Amino acid sequence: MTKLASAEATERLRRPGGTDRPVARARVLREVTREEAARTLARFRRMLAGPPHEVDAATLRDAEADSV
Amino acid sequence: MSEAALVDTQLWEYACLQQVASPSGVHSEAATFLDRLFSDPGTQVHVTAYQMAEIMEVLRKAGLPEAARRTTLAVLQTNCQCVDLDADVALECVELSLRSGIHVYDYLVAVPLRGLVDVIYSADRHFLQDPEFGAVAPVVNPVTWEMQEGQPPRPRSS
Repeated sequence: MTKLASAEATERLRRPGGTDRPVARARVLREVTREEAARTLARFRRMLAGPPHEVDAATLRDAEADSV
Repeated sequence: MSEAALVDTQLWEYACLQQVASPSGVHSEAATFLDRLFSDPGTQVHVTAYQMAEIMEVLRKAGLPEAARRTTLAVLQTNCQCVDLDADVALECVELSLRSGIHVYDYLVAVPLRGLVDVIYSADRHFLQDPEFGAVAPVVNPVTWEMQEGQPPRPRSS
């Protein structure tokens, strides 16, 4: 946990509108053992290192729509 | 030194995908960047609940096989810090979008992480265009290309 995150309970930030709100709380969505998390990450890194999934330009633009 | 980082959606996207006939550097740079980030024990990747859904939806629509999408989702669930999206911050994002004319989705990715992340990694020109993003955290483009809405990646202009 970072210094910023560890202080989240008490820190309040100034919003552009002028009101305060607490810093959001971040959490790991699925708690697993350190070993399982490492195995999951290793699978992902193998995927990144492998041949990429190829996609044509039109499909990719449609996938991105206007959100990316 | 620890670092809490936001990795914008297009970096996840191009790390997993390659556009046919596009320069191979687009994919390889994104994949190498994400791999290095996750291999650094001092870095903690953060996502908003909205961005998690956005990443998964872009990969689905681009046709990434289910197994690869499940691998990506598992990393998001087990190796990232996630922040819920509440109504107040969603409304704030809408107001920022109204003010700037930039679509609301970029704000939904970044603004809920204010106070939590030390850096925003993005190749999206919107993130440099509106100082509201820089107010969340410094914006760094870790690759040699950039993107603008509705256009393919192109060499970074500066």
